Amino acid sequence: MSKSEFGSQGGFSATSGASGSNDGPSQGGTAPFLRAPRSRARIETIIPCCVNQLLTASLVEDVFKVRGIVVSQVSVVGIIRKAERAPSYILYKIDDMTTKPIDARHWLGRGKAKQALAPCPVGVYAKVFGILRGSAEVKILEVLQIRVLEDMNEFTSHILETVNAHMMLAKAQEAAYGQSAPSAPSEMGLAPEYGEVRPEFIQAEVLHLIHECPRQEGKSIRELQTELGSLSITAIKEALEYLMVEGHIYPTVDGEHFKSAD
Amino acid sequence: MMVEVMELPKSRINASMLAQSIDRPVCFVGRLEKIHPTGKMFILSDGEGKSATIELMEPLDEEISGIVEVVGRVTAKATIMCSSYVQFKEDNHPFAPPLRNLSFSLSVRYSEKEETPHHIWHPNRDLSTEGK
Repeated sequence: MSKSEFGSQGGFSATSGASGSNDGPSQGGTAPFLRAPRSRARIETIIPCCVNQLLTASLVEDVFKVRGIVVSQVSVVGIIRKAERAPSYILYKIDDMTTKPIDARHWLGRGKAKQALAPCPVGVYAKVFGILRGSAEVKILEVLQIRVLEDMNEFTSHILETVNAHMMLAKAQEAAYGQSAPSAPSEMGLAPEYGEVRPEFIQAEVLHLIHECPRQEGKSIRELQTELGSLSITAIKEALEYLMVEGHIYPTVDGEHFKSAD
Repeated sequence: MMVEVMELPKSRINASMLAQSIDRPVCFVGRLEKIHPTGKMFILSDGEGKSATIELMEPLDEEISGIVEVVGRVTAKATIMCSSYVQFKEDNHPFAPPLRNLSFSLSVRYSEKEETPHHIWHPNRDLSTEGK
């Protein structure tokens, strides 16, 4: 296992400790770590993610994928819930509220500086750069860098970056392959297996957008669709139906425009 | 109960979503407005100026101030029974409360059980001109 895996990564100092985890299938009975496929592009991007995405990523031919997007080097921002010091690593649990905390292991290597490394404090937000490892069932984040957030606006930026990155990657994929990734929802809307998407959130947002619209003829369904990204037309129509029944909005010029009743 | 909430996905909400979130695990970020003399309750205001009442099982054992993020479950009274909280450091950088649309996006996105949330942001949307 050479330095070349990290050689092209720029900002990170390659540590033999981190790459040590790639040696052999099992070390002391831990889950086997995957080798990142060498045939992949040498420059690997860092994809901002939420923990839920990492823990539900599928394993396709030795590669983790989130909605068809390959994820290897990732960044997450979350609260450090646990920091356990072991002789050659620190084991963290990182919680970003999207699901249960994810295990994140920071290998310490043999250097004196690394050995003296104190674990980050528990109960604070940290930004973690790492590589997603493990099996389809049990995943762990192999930490390349972890630092406590000094500026909490980084927490907000990370969320926005996550939204943006995944959106752009999905669009690029669609453009490249001429169709959505296999697991992406069709125009029919959010598939039931995605679990509950709270309709009241959709209703509140649709109402807000209609309420904000200053025009006489009101807000059109088309505009709502554009502004609400990939929320399906069905979901939007259901929200409109509910809001009309409850008397919050009313249709104006045609069946396609709505104004707020408030 | 504390452990249980920790393991579950939490919706990030603002105060206007409390009524619709009864009994759900949530995450609420707000500025500390007031602490009850008993130390078992405090009020946080969200980015839109509305407030949430946070209840604690044990009285606070430290001073809290500024921006606080609370994790807990919404009660039948639309208060939040807090199982844990963290204070956002503002020593060097003031925290700008996320716009309402951010909390909405997060709520819809992260309530999904699978993989990538759907993109809610329209790429041309200009956040700087949107009101709070």
